Amino acid sequence: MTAEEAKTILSTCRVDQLDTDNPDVRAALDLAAANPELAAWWEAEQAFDRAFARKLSTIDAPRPLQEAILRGGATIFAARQLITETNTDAVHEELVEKNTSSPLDAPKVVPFYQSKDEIAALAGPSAGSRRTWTRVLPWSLAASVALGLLGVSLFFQPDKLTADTDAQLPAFTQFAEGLVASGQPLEKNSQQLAEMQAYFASRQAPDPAALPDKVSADQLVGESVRTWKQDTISLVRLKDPTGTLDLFVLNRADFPHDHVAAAPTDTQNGPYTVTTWADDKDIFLLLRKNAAVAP
Amino acid sequence: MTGNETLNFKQLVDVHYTSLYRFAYSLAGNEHEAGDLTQHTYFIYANKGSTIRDTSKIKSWLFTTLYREFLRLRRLDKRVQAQDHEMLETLTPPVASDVVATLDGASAVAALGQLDESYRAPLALFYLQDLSYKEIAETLDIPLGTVMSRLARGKAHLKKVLAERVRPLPSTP
Repeated sequence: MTAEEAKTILSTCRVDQLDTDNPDVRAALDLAAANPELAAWWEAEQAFDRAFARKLSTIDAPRPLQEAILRGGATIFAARQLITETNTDAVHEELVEKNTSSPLDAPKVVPFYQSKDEIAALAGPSAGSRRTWTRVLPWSLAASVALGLLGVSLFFQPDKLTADTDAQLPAFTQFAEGLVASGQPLEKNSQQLAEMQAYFASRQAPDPAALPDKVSADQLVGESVRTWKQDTISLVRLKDPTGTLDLFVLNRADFPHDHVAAAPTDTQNGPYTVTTWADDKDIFLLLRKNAAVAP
Repeated sequence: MTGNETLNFKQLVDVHYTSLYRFAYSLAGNEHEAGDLTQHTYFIYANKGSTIRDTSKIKSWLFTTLYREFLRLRRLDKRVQAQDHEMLETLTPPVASDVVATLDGASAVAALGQLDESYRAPLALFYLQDLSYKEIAETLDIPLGTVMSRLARGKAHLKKVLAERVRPLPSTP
């Protein structure tokens, strides 16, 4: 092994994870021990790695974003768990109630030559003569009941419902909250609607032809264009006497499973008041930090 | 049960949030995308995480998901051919560690940002020291040998970038 080959090998070694069992690494280290120039290079290389790693470790991750992730993600995660458990439990209870075995158990075989009396003595009233579809029927009924129970449980827990549908708006709302909470600067600070619209048009982002009535009297602060999943979203920041408002404009066609009413609807979501409404083309989601709730 | 799962999600965020954000920032080079990527990753986990049976794989899963999201957003999801563990550019200008010491975190990320994406991701994971070599290979979906060769090349390029930063300006006549 030459010194250059040893350098190539050692340059990929992490100081905290030296693979001394690797014969190439071992040979390179042995060579460095015997070659003062290579040893000095290796020392400098490790110092460089330590210094660079330390620099990356100084990057601060924003706390508000972490809180937003926790708030939104935990709800979705818990809802997913609930749905899975509700489904499984309901099916299980149904099976226990009917005193039947698991569908995963081996099928019972009824010999064709058994007498009618023998057949009648078996668990089912006509077990031996049942066709396959009739044996499957109880399981179908059980599954139907389970699905019914699931539907009822979700009906009484509407906040959980969102996680089981194809609706995207609840997840987007969490994303929007995280975006606002992270305090990221706007891409542009247009204070004229026409300028803002031109910017959105240039970015092929949803462009509200006019600001909705609910915010039309507020002062424009600026705008951004963001990508959520594969959708392009426009963000308009406004200001009113009570504080800052963030209006997200979503292309309605990108959210085909979300049914948003034309009339604005307010919901409280942690420290935010979220107002949603829609027109034919766009969905609007207005976020206002609730001054009464501590961040 | 739900409370425990919520707690688990919280623990996952508490343990991995900073590392994921730093990885995202190293890849994207800006706070906007770093925040978006980190958030997307956790929301994907929130929706699909219950399907992960082997909990020891969750950390790798999070990093992999974030990296794939990054590629998807950049429309760069194309495979780079595996390279042999070959003799690489080790004759790079020496960069003293005290030069690195003059950088702040953002400058270090900016230097990483000047590298080709195929080098940036393994190098960021190498320096963040959260994943083993094997996990880096799994995360980036490349063979271990390719991780090594990209690390060597990437470090060589990184030193060039840093050397450029400290090169004195030509004197004016």
